[in-house]
Amino acid sequence: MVLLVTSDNEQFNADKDVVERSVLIKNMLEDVGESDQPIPLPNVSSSVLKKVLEYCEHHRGEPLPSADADQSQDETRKRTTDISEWDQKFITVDQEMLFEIILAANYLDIKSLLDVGCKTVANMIKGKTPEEIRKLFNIVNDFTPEEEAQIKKENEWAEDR
Amino acid sequence: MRPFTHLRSLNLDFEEEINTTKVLVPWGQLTDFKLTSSIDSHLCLSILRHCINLETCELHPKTYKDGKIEKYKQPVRLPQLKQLRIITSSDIPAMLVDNFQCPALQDASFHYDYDEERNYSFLLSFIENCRETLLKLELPGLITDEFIETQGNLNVLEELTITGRFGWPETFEDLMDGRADRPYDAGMRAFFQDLKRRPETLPKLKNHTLPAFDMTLYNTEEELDALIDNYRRGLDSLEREKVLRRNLGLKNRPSLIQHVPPEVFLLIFSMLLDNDSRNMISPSQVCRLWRSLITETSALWTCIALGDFDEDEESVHAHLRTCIQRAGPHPLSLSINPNNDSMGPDTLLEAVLKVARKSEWSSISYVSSDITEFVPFFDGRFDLGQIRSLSLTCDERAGDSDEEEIFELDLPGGMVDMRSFSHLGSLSLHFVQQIDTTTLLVPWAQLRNLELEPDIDSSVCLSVLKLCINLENCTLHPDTEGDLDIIYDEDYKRKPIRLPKLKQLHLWTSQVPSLLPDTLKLPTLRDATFHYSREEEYGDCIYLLSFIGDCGRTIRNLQLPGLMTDDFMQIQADLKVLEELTITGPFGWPENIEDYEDKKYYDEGVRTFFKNLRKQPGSLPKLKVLRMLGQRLEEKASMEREVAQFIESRLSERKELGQLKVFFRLDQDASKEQRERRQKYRKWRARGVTIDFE
Repeated sequence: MVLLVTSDNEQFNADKDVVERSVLIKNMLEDVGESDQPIPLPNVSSSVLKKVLEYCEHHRGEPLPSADADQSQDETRKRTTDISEWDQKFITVDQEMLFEIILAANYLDIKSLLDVGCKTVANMIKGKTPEEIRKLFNIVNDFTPEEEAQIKKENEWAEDR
Repeated sequence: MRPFTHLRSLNLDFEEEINTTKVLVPWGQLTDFKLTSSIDSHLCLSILRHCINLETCELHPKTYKDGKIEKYKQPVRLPQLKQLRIITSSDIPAMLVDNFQCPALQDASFHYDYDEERNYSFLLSFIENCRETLLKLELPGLITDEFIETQGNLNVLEELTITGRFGWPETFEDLMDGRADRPYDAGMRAFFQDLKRRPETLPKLKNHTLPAFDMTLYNTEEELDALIDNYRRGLDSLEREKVLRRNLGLKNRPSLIQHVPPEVFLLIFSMLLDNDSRNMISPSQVCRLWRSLITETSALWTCIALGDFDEDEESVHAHLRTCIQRAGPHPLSLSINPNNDSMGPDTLLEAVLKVARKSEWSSISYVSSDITEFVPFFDGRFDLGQIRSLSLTCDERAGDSDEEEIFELDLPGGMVDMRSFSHLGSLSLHFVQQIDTTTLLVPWAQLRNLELEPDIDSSVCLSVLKLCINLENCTLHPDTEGDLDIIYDEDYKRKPIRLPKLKQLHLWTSQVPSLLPDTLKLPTLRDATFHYSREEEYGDCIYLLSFIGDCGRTIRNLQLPGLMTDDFMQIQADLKVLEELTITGPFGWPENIEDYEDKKYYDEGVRTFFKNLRKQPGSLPKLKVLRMLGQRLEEKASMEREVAQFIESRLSERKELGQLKVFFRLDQDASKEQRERRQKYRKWRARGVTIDFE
C-alpha cells in the first residue's frame, strides 16, 4: 500500500499497482525504494484525488501507453473523441471538477485519464461557434473590434456556405 | 521557456534589453510578472496582450517613444490584474496607461522622473477609470498639482503615497540660485489645501505618509453620514453587478480552462482536429490565447479536407494557402471527396495541383462515387512523387452502377501506372471491381502497408505479395473459392512466400482461406484476423489451423470466426504468447435454414470451445482479453454459463490471473439473475478478472 497526502492534508491509502498508473508516482516510488514515507501531492486536492483513484482502480492492470505512443504526426491526426461508456459516466462532473481532473492527470502523468478529460472538453467544443465556446467556459473576448473584423476576413473561406 | 508548463510567476530581473520576439513564454498562464529589463512601451504592450491572467505586474519601460502614442493604440485588457507597478527613470508612462484596461485594479504604483511631454492627462484618466476599485495608490509628487481634481473621485482609496518632490523649478538656474523652494512649496500647499477645503475627498483613506494630515479630524456627524451613504452606494453597486452577471449568464467563476497548460490545450485541439484543419477555425476565434496557440501550432494545419462542402475555386485556394502556410515544414495530408456543386472533380484536382507541387504531402485520400475520377492518379497526371500514403475509395458498389471495370478506363497502354509515386509506403484501394494485377505498375517492394479490397483470386494475391518484401501490415479480401481445388490438384507445388517484416495480416473472405495460409511464411506476425462466413465441409480449415499453429510463437492478437472454434483445440496449445483472442459471429451453424432459431446448434460450438480450453489448463498462458462479438441470441445463455466455468477453472489453476478481461453480450432475458451475477463478478474482480457485459 502507498500513502498519498493531498494539498488539503488528507491521507489516502491505495494499492501500489493502482497508484502506479501515475508515471509521476511510479517514478517517485522507484526513486525512494521500499519506504513507508507518505507521498505528498501538493497540486491535488482530496476531492480530486478521490476521483483520480476511482479511475485508476477501474483501469487497474490495463497496459500503460508507451512513452512515445503518439508522438508522431499521424497519431495526432488519428485521434478520435470516442470515450468508453464507463469513462463517460466517470467524467460526467461539473466543469470545475473536469478541469481539476485534467490538471491533476497532467501533473500526475496519467495519460489515459488526461485523454478522457481532453476528449470530453473537445466534445464540448465541437461544432460550437466562438461565441458559444466563450459562453460555455466564461472566457473573456479580448479581441478588439478591429482584430475581430480582421480575423473574420481571414477566415471567410471556411464559413459555411 | 515553454517547457515551464506550470509557470505562474516570472521575474526577469536584469537591466539588459531583451528582444521580445524571441522570448517564448506561456504568457497566458502567468499570474505574476516582473520585468526590470528596460524595453519600449509598445513592446511591453505586445507582451501584456497575451498575459490575460495576470494578477500582479511590475514593468520598467522606456518611455521615450511614448510621444508617438497615437501610433500604438492597442487596448490591452487585463481582467484579473490587481497590482500594477510601473517604474521609469524617464517620462510619464503614457502609452501603457493609455492602452491598459484593468477593471479589477486595487493597487497601483507609478514612478517617473519628469513629465516633459505634459502627458499627465493619460495617467490621470487611467486612475479615474480605476476609481471604483483602487484601494492603494503611489504617485510622484510631481503630479500633485494635476491630481487635485482626480483625487476627489477616489472614493474607495484607502492608502495614498506621494514620493519625491511636489514640484520642480522651471529652469536649472532657479534650482541653483536658491529660488527653488517656491515650486515645491506651491505644489505641497495646493495639495493639502484642497484636502482641507473638501473634507469629503478620499473618504476611505486609512494610511498615508503625510503626518500632518489626520483623517480622524474630519469624522464629524456629517462625515459619518457621508460614509454611510458611501457604503450604501457600494452595496448598490454590488447588487447591480450581481444582476449584471446574472443577465450575462455568468453564473460561475471564469472557467479553469484558461489555466490549462499549453500542451494540454494542444492535446484538446488535436482531438478536435478530426482530419480536417477547418475544425480549428472556430476555436481560433475565441480569444487571443487560443488564437496564438492554434495558429502557431503547425501540426494542427496539416489536414486538408476538400470537396465535402460547397467551396468555390477562390475558397479552395484560400483554404490550401492558409493550411500550407500555417503547417510550415510539416508534411500535409489531403482528403478529397468531390461532392461539390461549384467545382467538378477535374477543377478541384487542378486547383490542388497548382499549389500542391510546392509542398510536401504525407498522404492523399480520394473518395468518389465514380471510378473514372481515379484516372489522374493512374496516368501520371497527379504527379506528387513525395506522397507516402495513397488511398483511393470508390463508394459506388458494383451492381449499383454499370460495373465499369478499372482496366476499361482510358489509360495509356491500358496500364495503371503508379510508379511516379516514388516515396509510396502505403497503398489502399477500396473498390469491388475486379482488377488485373498484371497491369498494375506499383512500387510494390517499398510498400509497408497494403490494403486491397477488390476481389482477387488467392493465387493473384500471392503473385502481388511475393513482390511486397517489406510489407508490415496487409489487409486483403481475396476470393478463396478455388483455394482447395488448387491445393488438391496433383500438379500443385507449394512455393512458400516469406514476408519477414509482416506484423499484421487481415483476411476478409467468404470461405475459409487455404492457399494464402499454405504459402505464406510470416516469422514476425503479431496480429492476425481471419473473417469468413462459410465452411463448406468439416476440415476445410486444416491449412488455416496449421498456419496459425506455425505462427503461435509470435501471434499476440488473434481474431477468428466462431465457426472455427470446433477446431480451435488443435492450435490452442501452440498460442504461447497470445494476449487477445476475439471470436466473432455464431459458434456454430445449423445445417438447415429452418433450424436457425434452435439453440442446440450454437450451444454445442460454445460448449466445445470452452470445454477444450478447460481441458488443457496451461493453454493460452498469456491471455489478457477474451472478446466474444456478434453471437446469436440463442447461444448467449450457454455462453454466460461457459464463461463462468472457464473463469472459475482459470482461477482454480492459479491464485491470481494477472489480469483478464472478458467481453461478451448477455441474453436480454437474463436480467433477473443480475444480483447474483453482480456478486459473482465482484468476487472475480478482486482477483483480477474484469467482465464487460451488456
